Amino acid sequence: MTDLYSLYTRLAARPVPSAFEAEGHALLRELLSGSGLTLSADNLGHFYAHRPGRGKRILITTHADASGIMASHVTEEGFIRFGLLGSLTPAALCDREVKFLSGLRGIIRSEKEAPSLASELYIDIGAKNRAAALRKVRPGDPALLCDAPHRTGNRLTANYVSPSLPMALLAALGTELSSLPGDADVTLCFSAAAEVDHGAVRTAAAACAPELCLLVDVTPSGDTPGSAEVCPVKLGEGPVCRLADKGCICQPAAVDALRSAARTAGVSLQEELRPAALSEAAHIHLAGSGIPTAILTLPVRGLGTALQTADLRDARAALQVLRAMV
Amino acid sequence: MNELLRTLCDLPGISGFEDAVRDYIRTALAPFADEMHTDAAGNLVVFRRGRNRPKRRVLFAAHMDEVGFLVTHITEDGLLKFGAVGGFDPRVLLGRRVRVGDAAVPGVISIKAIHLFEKEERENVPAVSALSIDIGAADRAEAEAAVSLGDPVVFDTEYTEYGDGRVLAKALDDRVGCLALMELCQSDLLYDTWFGFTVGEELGLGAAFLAETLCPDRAVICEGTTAADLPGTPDHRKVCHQGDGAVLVYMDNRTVYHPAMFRAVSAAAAKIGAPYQVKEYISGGTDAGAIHVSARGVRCAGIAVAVRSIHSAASTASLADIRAMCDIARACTESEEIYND
Repeated sequence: MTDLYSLYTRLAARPVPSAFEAEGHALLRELLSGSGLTLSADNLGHFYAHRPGRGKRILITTHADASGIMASHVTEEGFIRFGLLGSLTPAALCDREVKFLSGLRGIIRSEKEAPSLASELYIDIGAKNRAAALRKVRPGDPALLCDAPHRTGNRLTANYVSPSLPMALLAALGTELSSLPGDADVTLCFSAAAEVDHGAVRTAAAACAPELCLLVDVTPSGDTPGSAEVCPVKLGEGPVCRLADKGCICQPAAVDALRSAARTAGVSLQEELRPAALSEAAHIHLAGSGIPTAILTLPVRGLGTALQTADLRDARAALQVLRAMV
Repeated sequence: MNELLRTLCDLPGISGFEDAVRDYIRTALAPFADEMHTDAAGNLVVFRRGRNRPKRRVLFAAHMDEVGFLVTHITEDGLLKFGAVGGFDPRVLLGRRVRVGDAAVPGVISIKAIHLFEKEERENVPAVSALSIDIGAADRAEAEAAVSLGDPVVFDTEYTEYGDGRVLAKALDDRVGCLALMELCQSDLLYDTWFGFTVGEELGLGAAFLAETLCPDRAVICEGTTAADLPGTPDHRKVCHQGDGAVLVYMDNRTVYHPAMFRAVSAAAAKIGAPYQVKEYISGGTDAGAIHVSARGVRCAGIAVAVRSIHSAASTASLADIRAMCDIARACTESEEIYND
């Protein structure tokens, strides 16, 4: 049995920001070494693991980039101004610690009590002035949150449950894919730049030209106090079949394939409609001559904030569904 | 350089109506092009053979279109209502001279006199829908004799050099990029290179068609970018500074430019000693947004000129900055990291 949690902890310890996915390819190669899959990366930083087969061409994809910040300006006093690199909100970043790729750490502070713009925030890296700061950070340097992940029972909490947990699912499937029965031609894609542009995955979808795509993603759980979710899903109640969102009404045949795999695996799926949410499926299903696309999501609390929580049981059930898909 | 820039800026060419700009560039580059065609979307594609064959297919791109308006309605009084093509702050439109349609009918963007404003109207910015273009027509019939619904409208601004090596013109965004590409096309190149003069950038679309069919591996986008180095703007929101050299871009609202390409362009600029600065606020967007997610994925870099009052009737730039962008673009055509890495 693949140790899903072990894979997750390794990925959660090494998140990579958008456009810097190549920094994470070495870890993916290490995790999938000995898998027997053909590993490759492309121009944009999409990473592929491929098992050839004579059956249906299936693409299973999830994004590999984490949301963070991008340094944009160094003040005379040595503070770092920045822009958002992905979906974190300014309010969620206040007083959080971040780490640049160089390993340098800093604390995000706010000019205001309730900031609404990233330009109202700054990073204190402890530099005495601009010249000292510029020796350590330049405009264009990305940084990510850097709290240590932790686990309480089945609950996993980390800055980057997304993308680490969906990535761990694909990595876990990858490690055993060659030994699983089935003749499907399967490509696992760890896609790039989704936090900045959901459309980036379109190039991967067009290149693979699958007959069926399964997007693995996360979804906000609606089981918390004050939640206004229209279609609440709950942590620990199983992975979720998203039927439609703002950019994609999943083709019935693709949804049926996902439901069928869940039945085979003995997994009960939650279901959701997210008319206000966008996912990479918006671009995948329009790629090439059109790709039937299903969406499997994991419920997560705190999406868009600095700390996210998921349930390991949901992820393990999702892995069973993925095995049945291929 | 200056005369070519004058010609380019004074040509009309809002999104979807780039014909005059395309025709001029096509004629000027015909003697130098090894291949040239216009695709179905209207992008002008030029191939220039270099002394060597590179490992990567490299595209330099600049957009031909400028912001402007389309006539949407003619009132009984003979005034033209219009819609914006591209992003505008209505405050920059009031009282501006414009030219309407192929006949370049002169007009002015008008609103009722300040004496007639209610208190609330004085305190709020008018919407574009509250404005009209007055072409001097007595009534609807007279206006219809001169213009038609769907006619493009451009600012009527004459290219002017002023001050300390500065230029004032409409459409500096992105005729400065077109200028840089034209200079490259007209010179000897080390490597085979493709050039794309794109359409519809102000609407966010045109370059995607070009990249999907050309399938480049790398793209260098030459652009005009926002310079907010004006009084009242905090330092960290000034984006870039006019006169401080070409602007190298690592990220905007649509794209994180590929880190290796950003390093390659920075190295090319440093190698020739051209003045450059790095963009210091994340804003705006370029054709890279469409190009980098096209075909098999394209690694993009951005070189820009700092343009004050961008998307207005009278944008301004430094001629030295424009020269720096052209020089850095030229240096990029000899970059091993871009062509052969």
